[in-house]
Amino acid sequence: MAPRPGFWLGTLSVTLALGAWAMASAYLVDPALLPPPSQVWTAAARLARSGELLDAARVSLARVAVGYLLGATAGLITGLVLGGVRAADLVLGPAFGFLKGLPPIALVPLSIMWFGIGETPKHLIIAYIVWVVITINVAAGVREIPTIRLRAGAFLGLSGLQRFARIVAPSIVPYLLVGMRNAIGFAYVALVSAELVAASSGLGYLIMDSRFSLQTARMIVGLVALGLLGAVSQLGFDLAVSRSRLLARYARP
Amino acid sequence: MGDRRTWLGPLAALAVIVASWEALSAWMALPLFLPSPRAVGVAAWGLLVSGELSEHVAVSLQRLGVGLLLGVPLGVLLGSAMGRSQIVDGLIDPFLRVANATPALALIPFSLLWFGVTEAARYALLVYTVALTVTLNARHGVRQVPAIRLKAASALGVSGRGAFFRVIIPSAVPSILAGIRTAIGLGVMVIVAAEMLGATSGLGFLLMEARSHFNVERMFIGILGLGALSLVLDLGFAFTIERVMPRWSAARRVR
Repeated sequence: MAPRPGFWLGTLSVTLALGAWAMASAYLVDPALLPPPSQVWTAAARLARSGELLDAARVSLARVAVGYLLGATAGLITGLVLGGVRAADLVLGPAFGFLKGLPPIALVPLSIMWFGIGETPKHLIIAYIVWVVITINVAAGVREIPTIRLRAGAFLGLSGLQRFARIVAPSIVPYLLVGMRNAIGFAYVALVSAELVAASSGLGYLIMDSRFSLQTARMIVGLVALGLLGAVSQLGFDLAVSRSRLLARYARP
Repeated sequence: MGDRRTWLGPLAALAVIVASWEALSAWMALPLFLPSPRAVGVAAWGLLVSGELSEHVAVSLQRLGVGLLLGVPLGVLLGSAMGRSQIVDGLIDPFLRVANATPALALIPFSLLWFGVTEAARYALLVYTVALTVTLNARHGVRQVPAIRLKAASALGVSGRGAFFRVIIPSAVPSILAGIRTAIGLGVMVIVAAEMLGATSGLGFLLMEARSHFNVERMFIGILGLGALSLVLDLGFAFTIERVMPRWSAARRVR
């Protein structure tokens, strides 16, 4: 695979940026505020060897996974109801418009008061935003099912259940996939929210904790690890969808 | 808007939600855990009368405004440059990818470290978030300009810089506007988080203060206020575009 022309330009600019970073922390700014790349690398190696990095990543990933599964399941159900039942949409649709704009971090204080400082509030905060995102997408998918498909089903004598399985379910898959893809990013936002404000483990905590002890190199390692985890999750999702022959058929509405 | 039924549904839902909240809080009888809507209403009225609430809202809005004012032009500039020039795109794209993969909220500890608990720390975060979102949308918009428009313009003798300002940028406006709308939503999220983790004013601060005093009523006010603010900003922006500049409305876009 020959690299695209942009690849070399990108390599050039990244190299230049790393050089500028190294120069800046050597001559311009206090290395306590911006440690040189070499120091970040050492910190990363130390965190990796001690197992701290892996532990933090595992804790964060587990939180995202549990919250995501909870929220996605709930979102699929409420989305089907909202999209399928006109009355429900008329009454509750605006409520979801409200919830969509509500930042998950605003719920962190209340969730701590209600559910303590264990894993439950973190799972629920992540589940909350995933639920809202997937509900909105699935409901849109149900609303957009071409009427002709439903009429054809009725004409062919499909029962309610058959119509759901053979017409509704396949028709909403593209919307569900878009919702699930977007929800991954939101899940990480919610994770960071919960871990920055109140946690004693995970990558967000690693960043916050290192800040208090002014270990900037560790902060940068935590940030990069968080970005990588998010990127890998999204890439993994894309790959799973494009590899699965069943899903790839539906990947575009 | 004239259809009464579109208003009746949500109003009925609101009534049902408030009534069941009231019933639930009466049944639980734990006002420190779940205050009644009346108690929250009374507390909200108190905050409103004292001017505290509007002050926090104004501070948060002002921060968001500054972030948009600086971030949007920066994003349009970067995005359109990247959309037009492969060289600029190749140079900047890797950073854009990294920034896009990293949740902006995780940068809050860094902004506090580098700028301290200052207004500059919040502005930096907001400008970053807004500029990033608008850049991505502007680049997309500039790239999507139909080739036929450029050909038509060049046939009419408009090319080069003229085409940039008279064809490319206007064609990208709907995409840029969509980016600004997204950026407003993300901006609310970032400003609240920044205010929760290091500020002495704003809606996020109100929430964090309520937490340290175990003041559940204020937590509810903060949550409901934020949701409402975000909804009003989003709908207000969409409505303004429909009304003031229908030409650029994505909903009525003619391709």
